[in-house]
Formats: sequence, C-alpha cells, structure tokens
Amino acid sequence: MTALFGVAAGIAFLGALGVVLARRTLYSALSLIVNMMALAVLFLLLDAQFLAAVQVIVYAGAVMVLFVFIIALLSPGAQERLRPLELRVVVGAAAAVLFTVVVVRLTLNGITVTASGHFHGVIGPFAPALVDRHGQVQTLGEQLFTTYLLPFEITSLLLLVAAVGAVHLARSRRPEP
Amino acid sequence: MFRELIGGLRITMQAMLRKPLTIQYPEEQRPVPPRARGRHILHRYDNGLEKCIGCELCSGACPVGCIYVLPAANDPAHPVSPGERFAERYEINLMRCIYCGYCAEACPTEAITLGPRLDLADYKRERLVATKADLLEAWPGFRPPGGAAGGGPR
Amino acid sequence: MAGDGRRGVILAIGSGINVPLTLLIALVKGVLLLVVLLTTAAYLVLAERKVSARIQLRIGPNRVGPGGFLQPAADAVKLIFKEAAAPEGRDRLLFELAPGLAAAMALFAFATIPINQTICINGRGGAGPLSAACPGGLALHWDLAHLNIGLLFILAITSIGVYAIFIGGWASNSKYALLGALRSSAQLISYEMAVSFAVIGPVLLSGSLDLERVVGAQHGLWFVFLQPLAFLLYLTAGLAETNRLPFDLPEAEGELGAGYHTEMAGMRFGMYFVGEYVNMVTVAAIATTLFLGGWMAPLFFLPNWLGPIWFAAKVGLLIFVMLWIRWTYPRLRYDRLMQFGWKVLLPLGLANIVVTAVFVALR
Repeated sequence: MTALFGVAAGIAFLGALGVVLARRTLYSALSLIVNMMALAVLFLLLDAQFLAAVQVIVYAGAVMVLFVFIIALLSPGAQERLRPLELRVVVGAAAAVLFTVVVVRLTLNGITVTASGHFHGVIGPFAPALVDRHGQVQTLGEQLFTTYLLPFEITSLLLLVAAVGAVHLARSRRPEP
Repeated sequence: MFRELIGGLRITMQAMLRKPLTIQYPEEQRPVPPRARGRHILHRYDNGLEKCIGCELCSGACPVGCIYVLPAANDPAHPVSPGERFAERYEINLMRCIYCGYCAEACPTEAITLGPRLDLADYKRERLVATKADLLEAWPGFRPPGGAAGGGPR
Repeated sequence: MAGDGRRGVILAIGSGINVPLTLLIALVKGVLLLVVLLTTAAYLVLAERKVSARIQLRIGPNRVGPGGFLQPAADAVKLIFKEAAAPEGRDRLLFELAPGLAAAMALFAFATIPINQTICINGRGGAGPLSAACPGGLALHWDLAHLNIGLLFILAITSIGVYAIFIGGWASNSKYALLGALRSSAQLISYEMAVSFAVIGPVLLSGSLDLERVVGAQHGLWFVFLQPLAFLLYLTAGLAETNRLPFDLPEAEGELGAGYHTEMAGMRFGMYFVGEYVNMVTVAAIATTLFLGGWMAPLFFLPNWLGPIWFAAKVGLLIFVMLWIRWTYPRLRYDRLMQFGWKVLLPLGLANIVVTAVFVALR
C-alpha cells in the first residue's frame, strides 16, 4: 500500500512540476492530466472509489479535453522559462505555501493517526463508520443534497451563468440574421 | 425513419443469406467468350502441316509492328507448310500487341487467330515475347479454342 | 459496499497472508483477460471482413489457413514487420505515446466488467449474484478489478481514451490527422454524454453502480425490456464511441485519408486498430451487462453455471449487429452527426432518465 502510495504521489508530484515547468503549453496541459490521474489513484488508495471516478471523468476527462482542444487549435509556441525571482514566481510560491498550510491544518482537524500508521477520519459526515454503513455514493449524495445544498446550487448557478455568458459572447459578434 | 432503417438491415441480411458470387479465380475460371481476342495461336492443318506460309502480311498489317516473321524455303521432302515458304521464326511482342486482330484478318491462310488465353502477366520481359514454340498449336491432342488452354507450352 | 472495494482493487489491507494469493489471482485474471481480448480483437477483424464479404456477396479472406482462419496471424505479422514511416515535424514523444495509450485504455476499460457471478471458495453461502454473499471465504470475482463504481470506472477510462485519438492526430503534424482528431474528439465528447445518460436508466433501476449488482437486479427480467429506449440509445451512442459507421466521421476514408491515424503506419496503426476493436467488445459487453442480463441464461430452463458462455454469446450477438449495421448504412454528414447527438440522443436520454426516476420513486 505504502509503495503504491509513494508511486502515485511521486507521479502526481512530477505531473504538477510538469505543468509549471513544461515549455510547450500542450505538455503543461497533459502534465496536468497525469497529475489528476495520479490524484485519482490516491483517492482509490483511500477507498474513495466514487471520488476517484468522478475526478477522472470530470477533470481529466471533460475539463481537460477542452483545454487540450483549445491549446492544440491555437498552437501557441514555446514559452520562455521563468526566471527564479520574478514577481509572479514569488507570489505563486507564497500562495502555494499558504494553501498547503491551510489544507494541512484543516485536514488534521478531523484525522487521527493510528498506531499502524493509517489515517482514520473520526468526525464529520464522511467518517468511515458512516460511509461503511451507507455506502460512499449514498453518503456523498445525501450530504450534497442536504447539508451542502446551498453551495451545490450556487455552484450550478455559477456554471449556468458561465454557459450563458459564453453563448452570449460567441453570438454577439455576428450580425442578426 | 425506423421503417427505412429496418428495411436497409433486411436487405443486407438477405444478401448475407445468399450464396456468394465469388469465383475462386486461379482454380475456377469463367469460360472465355468464343470471339475473345487473347493471345495468338498459330494453327495447323489436320495433317499436321503448319498453316503459316511465311508471307509476312500479318507483320505488315500490324498497327504497332509487334510481329516479326523470318521466312525460309520449305524442304520438299519434309515440308513444314503446304506452300513454298514457311515461317522459320515467328515472334510476337506481347507487351506491344494491342490485340486488335488485324493480323488474323490479313492472313491469307487463316494461320493466325487470337485465342482465348488472357492471363498473360509475367515476371520477366523476355518471356513476354511469344515465340513460335509458344504460339503453335500442340500436335496431336490439340483442344479447339473456347476450351481452357489454347496454345502449347509457354 | 465500501467493503468489497477493499478486496478488489486494494488487495486486502491488513491481512498479510491474503495479499500474495489475491495478487496472484489478479495477475492470472489480468493475463487471461489480455489474451482473450487481444485474440477476440484479432478475430473480430476477420469476422468483420467475412461479414462484409457476405453482405457484398463475396467470400472474404479464405487463403490463410482453412477458411481464412489464420488470417489474423498473417495480419499481425504484416503489421509488425511493416516499415513504420513517420511524418517530418511530428511531436516525437506524443506520436509514440498516443497509439499505445489508445490500445491500453481500450483494454483497461474491460477491467470491471463481470462475466460471471462471484464464486465463493471456502466460505459459507455458495455462489450468489451479489459480491457480498461470501463471508469468511475467498470471493472469486469474474472481473479483473471489482469496484463498487464499476460503471463510472468504464466511463472514466473511455473519457481518457479521447486523448489517445486527439494527441495522435495532433502530434502527426498533418492536416488530415488533425482534422480527424478534432472531429473525433468533438464526436466522442458529445456521444459520451449520450452514453452516460443511456446508462443511468439501468443504474436507477438497480440502485447501484456496481456492475455485478446491476446484473443481479435483472434476475427474471432483463433491463432491455424495461429500458428499450435506453438500450437503443446506448447502442447508437456506442457505435459513435467506437468510431464505426454510420458514425465513422473521425476516419471517413473518403474525405480525410484515414482521419486521426492517417500518419500512423505499422504497429502504431496496429495499436489503434486493436484499441478500436477491443472498444467494440467493451461496448457490446457493457450493453450485455446493463441490458441483456450479463451472464444469465437466455431462457430459464438453460443452466446458469454456463455464465461466461452466455455472456460471450450475447456479446457476440451484439457485435454481429454492430458489424451488420456498419455494412448497411452510409456515413452521416458531420453537422448532422452533431445535431443527432445533441438534439436527438441527449433529450431522449434525459426524458428516459426522468421517466425512469419517476417510476423508481413511485415503486
């Protein structure tokens, strides 16, 4: 298990590095896909099969296809390599550190480390006891449509707005028929 | 819409249930039409004498000049043909021949006709110049045109 | 539910003795599946040529081996030893990667399809239709990896398969390949929606994404009778997903050379070819699992223990239908194809979901 985790985590890390360091934009996008697939493997290792599948279908499958599509169509040339102390590099690094701290802090709230070295979440709606009783998909679905209904609906509204906006932008340039 | 789609499927299914029309070519062959103009045949009389008298009219009539005839005088004791002369060499360049049949029309003794043989591809150019040995009717045991094989050995 | 997943993919966490055995079983299953799928794909090519020949009143390949039986071997030898010409200015890494990805993803997608009911070794309770029915023993699943979201896994893998086609076309540095790749990606994305929507019907009826449970729920009445519309939608979209006529726009021999694999020669082409035919098997297998009762005997008096045989027979029948359709219909025009996907298949799929959901809720 640990070995698999190491491999998957390593691939995810390399993928993430590739996104930032690759000089051709398409390679960046493909690296991101690799990263997402590796993350899905990590989810699988954590027994979150539904999450893993959704990760691949939605992110690696649907979203990234559009990215790759557009990048390949516009075919931008090779990017210049970033210099180490450029402003955006510094800001990006700071944001990354901040994000890591927040995630670690939040995760540790609900997780205890057992003697065998496995992580076990105890509190919250996704504690293993609950998940085992109801099944993953059901647990997730129930939480999504009860506790997190408002964020869920707002997110879908956001997507709808984006879709409408895209249609409007795409159409407004053309003369009326 | 569904009627049409199903109809199409029905037709192909019917075709699938029919016997294939394929003829397994080298093993099975369709009969050649009787007047097909394939490779030439040099004929003989019933007594075994060659019909060709070496007059070279075929060579003259040929629009592409693919026929070469070398006439020679007949030995009266052992005649090859009934006339004074016979063709000592008779060669047709099959790569050049257009199979028009003018040689057969020009021939005064009906010695040359175009036979049924159509599979004339070869790997060597030299073998595509048909010689008298290739063209002459086998004797005896010759089968008339319209059967499977026309001339003698290639 | 989370429990059977642990036994499947994540091989028995904690119970140290079980790991080598489960690993070994997984390995054997993997090799077997690989061999069977590749052989099937190879003979599918022969079957396709034979069926097309008979539809066109021909005989088809019959020179290599009795009745052309060894033709696939000859084809394979030819592909392997053919010169792998490659275009100038290609993206070297991606050009080599894409064909392999195509074949791998096609093979990968088959991993969660159960071809028989789980067999219980050394446990209480014999073979049952549900994977959970083997306490204390070793449940032998008849799929490579038993996931409780098997169906989603397949959808995920197919969505990754799009990249193989797109990257291959893009990396070729060729107009035909790029156009084919663009068409293909657009088509696959569009029809994947239709596939997902068609697939939801059986999922709603059985209340599970676990393919084994979906089959189990069809005991007595196959879903094809409850979901005829979904079955038709799935089959139609499946044809599009496998790039087969009448939806073979990505290849469109008459217009685009060979579409996204125009520049692929030799074994690169061979990989795409294998992927395509394995995909056919997968699509037929999924349709069998979701709609035709998987491994269940087609008539009640026939023995159920012949599971894999029934499964194979149903898959074979569906594949024959796919071949039959290919050699019957002409190709759709590209805009018609997109219209058909978005304006016909998708709304029908949605309607089917709504009706099924109401039916399930009121049951």
